[in-house]
Amino acid sequence: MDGPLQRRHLLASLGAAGSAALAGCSERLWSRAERTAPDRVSLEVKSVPTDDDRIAAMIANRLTENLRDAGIDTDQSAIDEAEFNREVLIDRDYDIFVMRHPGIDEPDSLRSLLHSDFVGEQGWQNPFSLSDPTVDDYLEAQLQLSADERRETFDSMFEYLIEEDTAPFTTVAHHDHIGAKRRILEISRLPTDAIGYLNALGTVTAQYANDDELEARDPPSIDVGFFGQQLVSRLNPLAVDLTSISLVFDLLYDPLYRRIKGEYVPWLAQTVRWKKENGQLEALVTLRDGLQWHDGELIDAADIAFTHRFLFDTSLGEGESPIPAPQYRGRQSLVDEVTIETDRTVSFSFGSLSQEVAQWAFTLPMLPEHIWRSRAEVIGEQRTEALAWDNPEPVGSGLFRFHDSTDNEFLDLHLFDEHRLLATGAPELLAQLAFDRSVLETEDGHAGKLQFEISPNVGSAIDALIEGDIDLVASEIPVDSRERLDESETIRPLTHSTGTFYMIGYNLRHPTLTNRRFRGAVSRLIDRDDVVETFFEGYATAAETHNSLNGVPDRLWETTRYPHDFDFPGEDGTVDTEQAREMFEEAGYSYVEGELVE
Amino acid sequence: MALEAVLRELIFVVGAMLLTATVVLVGPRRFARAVSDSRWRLRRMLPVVGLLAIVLLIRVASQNVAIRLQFRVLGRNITPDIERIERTVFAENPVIVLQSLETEVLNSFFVFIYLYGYVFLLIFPVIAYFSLKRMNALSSLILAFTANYAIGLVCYMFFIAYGPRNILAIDVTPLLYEVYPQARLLTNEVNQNTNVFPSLHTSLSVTVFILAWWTRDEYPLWVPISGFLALSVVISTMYLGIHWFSDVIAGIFLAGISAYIGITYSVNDLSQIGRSILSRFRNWTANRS
Repeated sequence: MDGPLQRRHLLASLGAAGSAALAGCSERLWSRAERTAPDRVSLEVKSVPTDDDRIAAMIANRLTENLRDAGIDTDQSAIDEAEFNREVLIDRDYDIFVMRHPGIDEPDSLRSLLHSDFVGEQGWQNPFSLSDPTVDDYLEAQLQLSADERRETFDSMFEYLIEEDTAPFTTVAHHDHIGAKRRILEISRLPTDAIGYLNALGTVTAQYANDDELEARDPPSIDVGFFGQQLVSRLNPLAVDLTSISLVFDLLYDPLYRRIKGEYVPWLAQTVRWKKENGQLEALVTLRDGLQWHDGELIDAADIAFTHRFLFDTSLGEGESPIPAPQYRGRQSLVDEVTIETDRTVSFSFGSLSQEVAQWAFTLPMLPEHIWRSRAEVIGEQRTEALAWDNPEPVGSGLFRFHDSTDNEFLDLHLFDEHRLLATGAPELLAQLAFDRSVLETEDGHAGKLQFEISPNVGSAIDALIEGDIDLVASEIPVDSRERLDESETIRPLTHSTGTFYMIGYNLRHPTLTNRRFRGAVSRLIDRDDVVETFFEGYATAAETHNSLNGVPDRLWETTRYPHDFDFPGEDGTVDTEQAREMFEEAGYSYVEGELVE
Repeated sequence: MALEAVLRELIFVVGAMLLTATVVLVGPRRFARAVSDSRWRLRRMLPVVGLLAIVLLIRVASQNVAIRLQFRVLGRNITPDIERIERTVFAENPVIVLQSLETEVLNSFFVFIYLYGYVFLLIFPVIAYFSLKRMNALSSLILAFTANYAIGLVCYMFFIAYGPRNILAIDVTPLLYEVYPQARLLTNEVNQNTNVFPSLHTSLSVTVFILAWWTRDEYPLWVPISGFLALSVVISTMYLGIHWFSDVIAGIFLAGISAYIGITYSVNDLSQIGRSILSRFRNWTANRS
């Protein structure tokens, strides 16, 4: 019976001895034991691999190094473009991403990017999970304003996002798109949209007729080279996880309005009558006469109404909640209601929107109801057949129609002879052409071909151009390959400044990145001038104004303002550890043994 | 097509190397004799070649499923871990150190080794061992190749990893594709850029070397030649920015296992082991139910 007792004695004396020993311990050890240790901040920077986008990988690389220099435990990770899009834009599975954004032409794009209404959605809809009532207010206010008032509202928002460090992303630089052509061709600009390609086809064809150096081609055609993992047999304009050539959708699908040089030009629409009553904006759209889809079906008012309903809910009411198409969500959300009036007329109601904002909705691509209606089936969580479908043989109403394709090899498009622009020659459309339409005329209508050839990488695409196998390289040629363009006698670069930019995005669900002061400090941790100089070799513009840091390029914005105190804490791209630490200490963080803790 | 041009060049160059090596190392007479009574040799090789064919067939048939499984279900992106480990162990990443030695001669040499030297290294021992009086060296070689490939593929399912050129974008140059852009046509056909851990270039080359040592009595001269080539291939994978040092270590480890399997077991042994595992598994499930 005395066993347990003895044991208790033993334990007691051991305890006494232990506490006596501990009493002699230094205060330092006590403070370690008593306090919960401060947390080390750790981050992962995600981008696509060099194979997919060298610039993105280099920016991610530099940012990772700078974060490490600032004492933040940082890993860098890469994943293939399609999978990257899924992880970032659908699953929101990231801490910090570095990625190319297709560009912001219309400032209202920022609404679907930043408004808290879009937090639960997929695609470029608020992938950061930002929920800021002040930002929401600005974004709602601008919808009802025009011209200067609207711009000032945006200016105030930009200031709030940058000066208060509330922005969930930061822009590194807006870059130029460098393409290339065979020197012999008289094309002077890199085509980037449907009109551009039609003009290029006309120009080259006119040249074939007179120039003996060029072999005549029948029917007229241009071979356009792309490179990379471009999946041209998956041509779904609604999906986000596909790495297709987005330009192709502009050739295949027509909108009601086209935006040409900043102006809205009626395209499928013949006329639009605007009406504002009791503060409610309405538009009555009349379609052009005799419009056809590529498969010969007629385009009617029902197709227009269907497209809007379908983009809002690709399950057409079958899903528990609407499942919107992740592309075009911003524009689609401008429209309140679409009503079919007659075969050729549709009325749109826009609520309290201003006309300046509302007309952006008319640039949405129109989809044929008879093809897409059957794709409304729900096939998984927040997923319909319409979003997963490959759409291998797209039917649209654009200037070019699908002819043939093989995955990762080629895509052939033919001129759509029934298109209004070619068939009847609406005079206001013809004014957009830079060539005489008759050069594309044959005995039975207009003929022309665009052949997209896919090369595995930039080097082989340039080889093909030098050999004369292709006429153009339309993908963005990385600056480090520019040398080859200048070296060769037979090819020439074509530079075009687009709105595309590289951005660093923050996931606000990350415990540290929710702190705006921390984000503000990270946003300063990349030397934009050095990126432009060393990575882009000058073919880009560093973001340094309020608007450009938010993605809106300076050439689209009249009132550019510079932020206070947005300097890079270092020199020539390299972080000065002392300065960087000071910056994070000012933001409320401290350091333990050289590592940033919170 | 461009791919055909790349292939034609590959076949021509490697063909010339094989011809030379066969004449010098095997001897035309020995080779001719082996070809003339090839019937029994081929029959002897049937099981092991069949096994290799099955592995290849599974690989081709499951291509799409495998990519989905790899990215969505089984795979873990270990690139950051590899980079982290190497950052801790080395002051400067070995790939960056190797690339700092870059010269045009070295570029050409390593591109040549990575593409042509490697293919030659894998094919020549097949010819050499085929010409021997007994077929056990050849069947060990093919079995070891099969083991390399099968284990490698399973690893790729679990480990998504990108090579150094894809992550250390500033410091590491994708030299292979810069020196010889058309190579991408070829590498795209046989591989994905996420299949780097372990390095199959390393493991197959080292396997050839181990077997060359094992058969040194038959082909003494092949030992130094294959050793030089294997070492060059190993270095080239890092020099060209394709593999991490860790991939190479894992590759050497895989080579050891595969060569051991190839030398110790026959297809018969393996099928018996497979059968006994299967029956034990059946007993186990039967007992449980």
